[in-house]
Amino acid sequence: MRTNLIQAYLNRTPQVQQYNSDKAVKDFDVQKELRTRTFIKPLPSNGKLVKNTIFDIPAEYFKDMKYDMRALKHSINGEANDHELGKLNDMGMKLGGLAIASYLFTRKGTPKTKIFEFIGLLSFFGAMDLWPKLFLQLPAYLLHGFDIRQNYVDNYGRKKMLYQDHQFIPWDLYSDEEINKIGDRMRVPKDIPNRRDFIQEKMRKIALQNNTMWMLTSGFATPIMSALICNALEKPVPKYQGEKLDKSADFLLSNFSQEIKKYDYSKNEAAMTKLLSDNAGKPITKQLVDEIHANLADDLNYVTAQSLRTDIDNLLPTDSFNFTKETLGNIRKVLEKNFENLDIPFTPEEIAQILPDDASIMSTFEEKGLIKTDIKDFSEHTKLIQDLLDSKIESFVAQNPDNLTARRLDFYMKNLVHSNDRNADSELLSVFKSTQATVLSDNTIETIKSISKTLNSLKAKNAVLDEFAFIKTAQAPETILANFWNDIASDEFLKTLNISPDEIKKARLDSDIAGKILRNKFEDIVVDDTRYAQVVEFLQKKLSALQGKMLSLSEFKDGESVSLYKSLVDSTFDNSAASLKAAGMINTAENLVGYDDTIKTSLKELQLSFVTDRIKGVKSSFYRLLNALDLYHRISKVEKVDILHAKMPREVKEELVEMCKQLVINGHNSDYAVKFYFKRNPELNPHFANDEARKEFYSQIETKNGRVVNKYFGKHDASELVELANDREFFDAAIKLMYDGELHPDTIAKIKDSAFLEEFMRYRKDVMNFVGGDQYKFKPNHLPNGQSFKSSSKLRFLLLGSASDELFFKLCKQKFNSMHWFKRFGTIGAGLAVVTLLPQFFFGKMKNPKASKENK
Amino acid sequence: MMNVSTNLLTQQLNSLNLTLPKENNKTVTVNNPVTPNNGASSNLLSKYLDNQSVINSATVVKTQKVTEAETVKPYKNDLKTLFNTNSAKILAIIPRTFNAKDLNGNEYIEGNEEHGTFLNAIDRLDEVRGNGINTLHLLPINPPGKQNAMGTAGSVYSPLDMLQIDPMLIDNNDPRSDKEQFKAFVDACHNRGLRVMVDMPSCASYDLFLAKPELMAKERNGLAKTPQGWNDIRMFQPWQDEGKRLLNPELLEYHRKFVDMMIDAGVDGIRADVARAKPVEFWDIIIPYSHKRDPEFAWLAETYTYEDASPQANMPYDRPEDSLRAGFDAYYGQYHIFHEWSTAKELHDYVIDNLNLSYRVDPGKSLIGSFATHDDISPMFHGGEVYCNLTSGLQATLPMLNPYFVDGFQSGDTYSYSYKDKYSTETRTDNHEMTVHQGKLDIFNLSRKPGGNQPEIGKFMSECMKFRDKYANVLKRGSYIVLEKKKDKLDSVIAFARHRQGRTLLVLANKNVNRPVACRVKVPTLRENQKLENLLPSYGENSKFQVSQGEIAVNLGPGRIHVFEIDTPYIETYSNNVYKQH
Repeated sequence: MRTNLIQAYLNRTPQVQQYNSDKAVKDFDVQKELRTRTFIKPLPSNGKLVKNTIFDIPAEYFKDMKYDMRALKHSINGEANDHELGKLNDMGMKLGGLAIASYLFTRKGTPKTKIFEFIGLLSFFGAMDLWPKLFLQLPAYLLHGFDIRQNYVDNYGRKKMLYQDHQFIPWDLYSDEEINKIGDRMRVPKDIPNRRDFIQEKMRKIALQNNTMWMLTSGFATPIMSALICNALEKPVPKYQGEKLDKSADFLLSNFSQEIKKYDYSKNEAAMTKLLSDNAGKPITKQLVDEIHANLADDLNYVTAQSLRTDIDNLLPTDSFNFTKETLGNIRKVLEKNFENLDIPFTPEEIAQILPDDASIMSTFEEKGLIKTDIKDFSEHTKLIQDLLDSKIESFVAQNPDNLTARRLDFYMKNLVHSNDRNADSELLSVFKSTQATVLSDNTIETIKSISKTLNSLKAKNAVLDEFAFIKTAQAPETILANFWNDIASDEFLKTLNISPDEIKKARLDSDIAGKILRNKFEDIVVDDTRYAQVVEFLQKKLSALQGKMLSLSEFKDGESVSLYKSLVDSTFDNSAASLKAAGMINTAENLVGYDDTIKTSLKELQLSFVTDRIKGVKSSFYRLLNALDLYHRISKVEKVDILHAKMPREVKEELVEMCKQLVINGHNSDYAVKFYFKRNPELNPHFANDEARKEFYSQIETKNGRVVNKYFGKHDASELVELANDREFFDAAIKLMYDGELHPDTIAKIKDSAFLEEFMRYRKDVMNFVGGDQYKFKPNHLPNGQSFKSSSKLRFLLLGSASDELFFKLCKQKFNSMHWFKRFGTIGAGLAVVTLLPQFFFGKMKNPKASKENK
Repeated sequence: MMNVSTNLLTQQLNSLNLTLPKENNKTVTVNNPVTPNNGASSNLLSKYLDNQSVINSATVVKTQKVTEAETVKPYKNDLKTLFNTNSAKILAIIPRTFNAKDLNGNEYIEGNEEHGTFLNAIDRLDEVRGNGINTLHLLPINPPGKQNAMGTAGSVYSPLDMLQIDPMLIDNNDPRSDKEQFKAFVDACHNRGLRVMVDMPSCASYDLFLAKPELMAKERNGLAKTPQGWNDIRMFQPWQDEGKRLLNPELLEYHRKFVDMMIDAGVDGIRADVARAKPVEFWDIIIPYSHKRDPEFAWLAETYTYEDASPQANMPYDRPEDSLRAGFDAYYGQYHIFHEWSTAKELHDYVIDNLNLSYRVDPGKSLIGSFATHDDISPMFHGGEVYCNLTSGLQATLPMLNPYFVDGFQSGDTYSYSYKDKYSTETRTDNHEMTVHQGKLDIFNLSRKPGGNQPEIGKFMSECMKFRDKYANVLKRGSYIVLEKKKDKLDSVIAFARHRQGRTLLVLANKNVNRPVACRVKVPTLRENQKLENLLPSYGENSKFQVSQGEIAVNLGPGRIHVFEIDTPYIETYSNNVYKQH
C-alpha cells in the first residue's frame, strides 16, 4: 500500500506537549480552594452614581457652576482636560446663544418679541434636554427599570453620563442588588449562568439603542419641540407681560410726581443759568436769543417751538439801538477806511478836506436831534451822513476842478450806504447798529429762568403722560389696548361662537364668506337663549375688563371725563400755560391749551384725544358686535322692533331687516356715507282686494330658527329692483332699527350691571346722531331724529369701528394659520414621539441563555 | 534501515528536524548531523542536494552528556525581597532575539543566521550583569500561535500553549531537552547573580482558543472575545459566573501548571501580562500557590493606573491597588508617560500618590521604573541620549522604584527596523507581513539583537546602578523630600532630596531636554560652604551651581541630572514636603 506522504507529514507533526510538574504542591486542589477559601474582593470604585433628588438640584447646579468656573480657569492657563473643555464647550454654546439673544433683544421693538428671543433660546436648550428625558429616559426607566442617562462622578470628580460610551461603562458602580433588581424588572430569568453579565449586556444594549435613537431623532425633535414650546408660550407670556405692563403704566400716573423726576432737565437748566449769567447786563444779540431758544425748545415739538420763538423774540428784542458818542467816532473811522479802500491817490490833506470831521458830524446830528436811544430806524442818520459827504465832495470838486478822480468820489462813496449783500446791513448801518439798545437785565434773566423751569417741568410731565398713553393705547403691538383687542378676538371668541375648524378654513379665504358664516352663526345663536346669553356674557366680561383697564383714561361721571389721566393732563397743561402767560409767553401758552375758551388744536387736546380716539375706535368695534347680536336677537324674536310698525308694508319690513342684518355685519364707513345703498322693490302701491289682503300686506315679519321667513323679499328679479333715493323714512327706520330704541331684555339682563352700559347706550345714540344725522349734501333729508349733527369723517370712522365680517375674517385667517402650523409640526412631533417611543418595546431584545444545569 | 525515497517532497519532509517525545526524560533527537542550509538557497535543486546529504548521514546521534547542570551552584531565590526592598534592577529581554546573530545586516534573522536561544543567551549574561542589572525579565517563552498571527514569527504574547516552551528557543544541536536548556539558562543567570522573571501571557493565541475552548471567553454569538486592538490574541475566561464571582477552575489549573513549570525551571518570579485580565480572586489563588512552593517567588503586575472602566473593549478596568492587595509585589505604574508630563510637579504628584498608596497596602510594595517598556516607543525619540540618561538618573534616585530597562536601551536602540511591514516569503505563521510597531521593540518577528550605536547610554546607566547600590541605604528606603523652587516659571526643574539616618542626597534635574533652565532651589539647612560633587557621570551641556545659605542657584543643562551628597542631617525637620514609603 502506497503511503500518503501528506498524511505522513501531518502525523509526524509534533503533538502538543503540556508540562506536568512532578513537584507540584500535592495537597493543592483548585476546586477545593474555590469551595473553601474566602477570597479578597476588589475595592469599591472610587466613583459613585449620582442619585439626586429634586431637592439636590440647586446644590448640584452650583457644584456644576463651580466646576465650570474651574474649567474656565484651567482653560485660560492652558491646563484644561478634555472633560473640562467639553464642559466649556457646553457653557460656550449657552453663553454664545445668550449673547445672540441679547443682541436680538436690543433689535426688537416690543416686549413680546424681546422676551421671545430668550424664550426661544431657553426652549431650544430645554428641548435638547427634555426630548431625551421625556421620550427616551422616562419610558426606558418605566419599561426597563434603569436610568439610561444615569450620571456618575468618576475618580477625578468629573460628572459624566454612565452610558455615554458603551465601551466604557463602570459597571462596578452598580451593586449586585441593583443590577439584579433591574434584571428582575427586565424579566431576566433568575437561574441563568452569568446573570449579572447578561443583565449588564442588556442594559448596555438598551442604553446604546436609546442613545442611537437620541442621535437620530434629536436633529428633528429639538427644533420641533422648541417651536412647540414657544407656540404654547405665545399666549400666556404676553398675557403675563401685558398684566405687568398695565400695572407699570398705572403706576406711572399714581406715582406721577416721582416719575417725572426721571426726566432730568437739570443739565438744560444749568446751561441756561450759565448762559444767562455770562450775558447778564450785556446787549441782547440775535445769537444770544438763538441760544436761549435752543435751550428752551429742546424736546419740544416743532409747532410749540415756533410759538416759543415768537414769544422769546418779543421778550428779547434785538432790533433797537442807541446812538452814542462812540458811534460818532466810529463813523469817521468807517469813512476813512472806506476811502483808503478805494485805492485812489489822495493825500491826507485832501482826505481831510473831503471827509467831515467828528465835530461837524456831532454838531450836525445834534442839530437834527438824532443823538438818542432805542432807535429802530436809521434812515435819517444815513441820509444825514450822505448829505454831509455830498456837500464836502461838491466843495472839494469845486476847489479842485482839475482833479478828475475827485469827480467820481460820490460814486465810490455809495458803498457806504449800500451793501452788495441784500440781506446784510451797509457798512454805515452796521456802525449805527453797533450798540444794542436792550441789555439782558436781571428781571429778564429771572423771567427766562422761570420760563425754563415751567417748560422743563412741562416736558417731564408730558413725557410721563406720553409714555402712559403709549403703553395703554398706542396703535402698536402689545399695548394694553392691542392686547385687549387680541383678548376678545381670540380663540375663546371662536369657541364661544362655536366656530368649527371647517368654518375657520372657509372663513379665512374671504371677508364676504367670513361675513356669511358669522351671520349664520349669529342666527343660530340668537334662537337659543342659553347660547345667546353665553355669547353676550363673553362680550360683557371682556368689555367690562377693558373698562377696568382703561379706567384711568376714560372714567366718566355725568358724561364728563373724570379720569386720572385727564386731570393730570389738565393740571399739567393748564398750570404750564398759566405760568407762561404770566411770563408773557402768550403764543406758547395758547399752543398748549388753545385760544380763548376752546382747546381745539391745542397740545392738550391732542394729548387727550389721542387716547380717547383710540379707545373709542376699539370699543366701537366690539360695541358693534354686541349691538349686532342684540339686533339679530330682537329680529329673531320679533321683539323690541317697534320701528317695524303696523303701517309699514311687510315687504319694506323684510327689506329693512335684511339690509340692517347685512349692515351690522358688513357695513363699512362708505356704506353709511351713501345712506345705505340697497335695491328695493319700487312698486309698493297695490290695490287690495279685501281686508285680509291689506292686513297681510302690512303684517309683521315672521322668523324661524333665527332667520326671517321672507314672504316678499327676494321674490323679484334683480332687474326689477331699484334704489329708492331720498326715501327718508326707510333710512330713518334702518338707523333706528339698528341703533335706536331699547335693547332686548335678554341683552339688558346680561349687561345691566356692567360699567360700560351707559357708554354703550351713548355709543348707540352717537352712531344714530353723528352717523345717521350727519348732513350729507346729496341726501340732505336723511335725518333720523329730524335734527342735523355735524360729524367729521374721523368721528364716523371711530364710531363704526371695524366691520364685524373683517374682524372675523382676520381672526379666522390667523387661527387657520396657527392651526395649520400646529397641525403640521404637531403631527411631525407626534410622529417623531411615536417613532421614538415604539421601538422602546423592542430595545434590549436578547436571547436568554439556558438556565444553569445545577438549578434545573 | 531507513527507506530512501527519491521523491523530492519526501526528501524535503525527511530533512525536517523533528524532536520526538522524550523517553524516560531523555531526549532522543532524530536529526541530521549536517545542518541543511535552508535559507541560503531555496531552489529545488539545492534542496535536493541538501537532502541527499541528510539522507546519507547517520539518523540517530547519541545524546550528549549534560554537564552544565552538575556545575550549578546552590542558589536561593530572593526576588520577592528584592522587590520589597526596591533592590531589583531589571532588564527586559526577548530570548529569541536577545543574542540573535544577524550576519547580513538586514536586521532580520533568516536562512542560516542564528536566532536567539536560551543557550546562546548565556553569552550575554556577563554583559548584562556588568550593566548593574540583577534581574532579567524574559518576555513570554511559549511558542507563538500560528493562526491570525501578527508578524512572521508570531507575537510572543500570543501563546500557542502556555505550558510549552517555544522550540525556537531551543538549540537543536544541544542534546538537552527544552526544559533542560531553559533550566540551564536560568542556572547560568543565577550563577551570575541574575534573577529570572518570566512573562505570563494574559491572553491566548487563536490556536489555543481552538484547542482549549473551556479556557476561553466568548462573545454571545460564540465568537472568541478579542481584546480591542490585538487581533492575534483571544481573551481567557477567568469566570465561571462573573455575577457571582465564581472563577473558572480550568483556567486556574492551567495557570497553576504554568507556575509549576516556572518554579520547576528555577525561575524566580513572574511578570503577569495585563494583570487586570484576571480578577483579584484569581490571583489570590495563584500567587499564594506559588509561595507554597517558593516563598520568595516574586510577582510583577502589568498594571498602570486606576480606571473607572476600561477604555479597551473586552478588557476589565485597571486597578493597581487591587492587584497589590491580591499579592503582587510590584507594579508598572505610569512612568512611561513621564515625557508627557510638562512639569516637575506632575512627577512629584505621581511619586507622592504612590508613596501614599504604599500605606494602603502591605509594606514593601513597589513599582518598576517603567520609563520605557516594550509597549512604548524607544526613549531615544523623546530626547536621545540626554533623555535616556535623565531617566536612568531618575530611576536610580526615585523612591519605591526598581529600575527597569528594555534590552537595547543600553546603546540607544531606536527599534527602527528596515523590514517594517514588508512582505516576507518565509514565515512561521499564517502571516507574511513583517508587522512591527513603529519605534517599539519587535515582538512579532525574528529580528536582530537589540542594540544601537550609543554605548555611552549603557555606561551612564551602569554608573547609575552602581551609584544606587552604593547609596542603597538612602535610595531604597530613604524619605522623599520635595524641594521648593523660585523663578522656575515653567516648572522644569525636578528638585528633591532623599534622606535617611542623617545622610542626604540632593537630586537636581532639568526635565527640559532642549534648553537649560535656571532657578533657585530651597534646600533647608544647607550651609553656604557646602561643596557639591556630582555623584553621577557628566553628559551633555554643563550645569552651574551657586550655593548660599539654605538655597542653591542652579542653571541646569538640557536634560541634565545631578546628585550631590549634602550635609543636612536635619533636613526632614525643616522641610514641608516629606514623604516616606510604607
